[in-house]
Amino acid sequence: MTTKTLIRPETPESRPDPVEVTVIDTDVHVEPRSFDELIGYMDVPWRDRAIKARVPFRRAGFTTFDVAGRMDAYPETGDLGSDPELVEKHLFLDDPIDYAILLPWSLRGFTVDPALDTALAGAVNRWLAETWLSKYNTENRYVGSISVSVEDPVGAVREIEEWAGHPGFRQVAISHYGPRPFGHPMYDQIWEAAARHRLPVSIHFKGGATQPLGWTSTGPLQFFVEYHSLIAPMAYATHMASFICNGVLDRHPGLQFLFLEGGFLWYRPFVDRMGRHWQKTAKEFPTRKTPLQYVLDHFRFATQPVEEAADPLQIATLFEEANAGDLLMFSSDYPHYDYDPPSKALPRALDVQVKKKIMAGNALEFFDLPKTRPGDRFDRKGGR
Amino acid sequence: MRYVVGAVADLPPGSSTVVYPDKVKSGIGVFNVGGQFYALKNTCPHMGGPLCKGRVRGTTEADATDEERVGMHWVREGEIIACPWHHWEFDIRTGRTLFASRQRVRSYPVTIEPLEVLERLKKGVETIPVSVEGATVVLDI
Amino acid sequence: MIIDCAVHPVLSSERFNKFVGGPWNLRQLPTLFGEKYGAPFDQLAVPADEASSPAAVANCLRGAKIDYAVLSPTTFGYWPNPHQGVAVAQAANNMLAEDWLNAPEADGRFLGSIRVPMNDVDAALGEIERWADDPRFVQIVVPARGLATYGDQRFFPIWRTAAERGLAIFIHDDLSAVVEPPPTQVGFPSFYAEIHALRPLSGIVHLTSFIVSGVFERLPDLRVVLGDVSVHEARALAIRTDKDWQSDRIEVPWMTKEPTAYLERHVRFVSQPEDEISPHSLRSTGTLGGDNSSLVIFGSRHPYWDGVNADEVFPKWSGEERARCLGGNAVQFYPRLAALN
Repeated sequence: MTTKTLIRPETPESRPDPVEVTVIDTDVHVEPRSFDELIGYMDVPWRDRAIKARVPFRRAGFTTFDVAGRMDAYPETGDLGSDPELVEKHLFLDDPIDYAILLPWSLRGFTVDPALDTALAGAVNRWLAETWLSKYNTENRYVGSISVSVEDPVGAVREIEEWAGHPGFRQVAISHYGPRPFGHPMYDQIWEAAARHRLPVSIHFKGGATQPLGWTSTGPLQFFVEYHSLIAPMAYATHMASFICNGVLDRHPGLQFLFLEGGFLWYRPFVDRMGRHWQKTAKEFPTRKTPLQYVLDHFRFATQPVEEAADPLQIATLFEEANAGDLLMFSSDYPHYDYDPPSKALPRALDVQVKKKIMAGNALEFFDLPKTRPGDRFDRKGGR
Repeated sequence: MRYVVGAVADLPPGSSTVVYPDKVKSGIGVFNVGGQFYALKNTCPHMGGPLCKGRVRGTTEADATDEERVGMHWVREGEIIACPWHHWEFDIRTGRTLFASRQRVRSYPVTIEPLEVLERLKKGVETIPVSVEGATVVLDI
Repeated sequence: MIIDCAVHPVLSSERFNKFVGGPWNLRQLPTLFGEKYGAPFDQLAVPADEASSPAAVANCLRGAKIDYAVLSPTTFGYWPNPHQGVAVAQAANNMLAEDWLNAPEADGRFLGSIRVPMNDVDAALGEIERWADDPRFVQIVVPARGLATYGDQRFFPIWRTAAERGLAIFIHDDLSAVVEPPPTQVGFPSFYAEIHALRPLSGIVHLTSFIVSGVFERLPDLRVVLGDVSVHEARALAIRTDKDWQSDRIEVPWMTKEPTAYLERHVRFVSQPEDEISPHSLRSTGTLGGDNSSLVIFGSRHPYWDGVNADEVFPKWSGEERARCLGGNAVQFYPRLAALN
């Protein structure tokens, strides 16, 4: 009797071929269904309804006039960005990305009490670990951020220590406001903890409770259109100079920062000015590199809201003059109103290789993510 | 081809709906602005957002009557749609952006057909499953 | 022809105190560069006595082949006491006219800037009227750092008068400021190098404010010169405002075009030292918001340490484009320089 081994026909369910990662979205905001869901993750002394009144989520002075979220992204029940099915559809099917870097947005820096701020960050981290990084993360497409309160450095370090070992968390996330620029020694323990765990730090623009909203070096802004375009890049330029001049990058040579939602083209004239007379101006502190070299080694920028111009060649030239291929990473800001879809975000005339690095290559390195992933149900559903 | 949107009675002034004919999968928004019907492709020419899911509203207009200061009026209530992505404003009647640009959303002719015409058109008309008992909104796509 | 649009005479304290009179001269004047952020080097490129000598400055400009120089002395920013603010502006203008514009060594080549107190608009208008009939005053100079953005309605009469009288507005950062909100929105930086890098941002805030608040729409003849801002940095941020204007145009319906489209008619940027190393500077035309070769005007920033030499600006541009930057653009832009054509 002879036996014959038959090759088993491949079922549609098995897709052994790995899928190349071509789109990483570095700015996706997921939220609990409601604030009550988050309160359930807070430590006992905080589980007090009264904290709701102490956490003003809205800063009504500077907002867009139409709905702040993508109107097509509100679930039937629950808050914007809280429904896993709807988020999956938008992120992995409609205009598909491979990985989403999650930055729960509404929950950091919204209180004047630093202890409560850290307690909220801790609850966000526990909630994210239990939901979007585990039970909602069946296909392993979500990548988490450790939320910390930058105004409470001791609490921030505690949070980093607690979550750095969790494989789902790949960066530390902070908001842009602090009472002094971020090179000040008061923050160094945060950067030290991030560097020790080889976690990059992303900085997101947000109107926190302690921030004098809309104030600039020359008085308060008046219009949302000035606020939304200027506040983030002005703060980021300040922090960038502060990191460079205060030695943070020399103390932590492996540390990298990502500036989210604050534009990109401005950094080049800014560091050109800083670097123009660097031998003279940098005499007050030890320094090892030029400002431009620090930027190339340590700072990255997310695209959204992507700088646009009517002339596609003009904007592509500006991108290339600002080293877009090395420094820029795609972001959509899903599910907010100014969402940039991956298929349309970049200037059309940009070089193909540069586009590839912006859409995925730079983020793969920055977050140390695998270049391929298993095919999954989204690929099958999307016919990818 | 022609596409039956539904009964006029179901689209009173100030209301709108989005239909999804096979030929235009992303959908077409049909708007009743003060008794006149307009149809726009549900795709924003800027970044492809589902334009017709946005807010139908009025807009502001500068008021230059006082030389001493700038002012504004609220005007054209119900004639403007703001895209749910990036809030670009479009004139529902023309499909043009309110700020000067070369971008324009595709629009489609809309007609109101009485019941008897509709019966004649029935063959070759793609319909949505609604029972139509009076004048009907029909799109040319 | 070379027109130097940014020359900063240093008003010697002793002489200034004579002009400002009592009781203000009982108070000590602030130091020129402020107390907080001392640079680790001398911020004057020439000896102090030369920086405050009309003859020495005229001689220096002659050596650099400058035909005309627009002078704007610093007066320590915004003054808290409104009476002192008025006295300081008046003293600065009197001293500029008497000691500098009338100096025989100037040979008619010094042009002036009218200082106005920003905390008292009526007094500012009075000061403009006092000098506006003198054709040598070609602009009004205002500090880049104030307590309000310049699109604010309270300042509008100043801009309207400037436009009516053919005076440009020069926004310049006096390093020493008597009233000083934190120089960044996230607090005080640690070092001079940071402050120096961040300096253009205040001017960019005012530029954005002028545009979105409708000042340029209401005053089609208003001309604004930014003293400390490179055209590239302004453009890189105005691109962002273009987008926010598209999204929230209903907030500012008086605007008829995108923010970058206002630059060409209303704004010029004084040449900055970083223009020499910026990759953007290689291109003279085809840039967003207008050609670089139209938007930049030459300013040496004499006597400051981070000056710009006329023969070193934009070396890659054609001779015709360099000539525009060195003189042609200023003649075209400043209403009161049109006669030089």
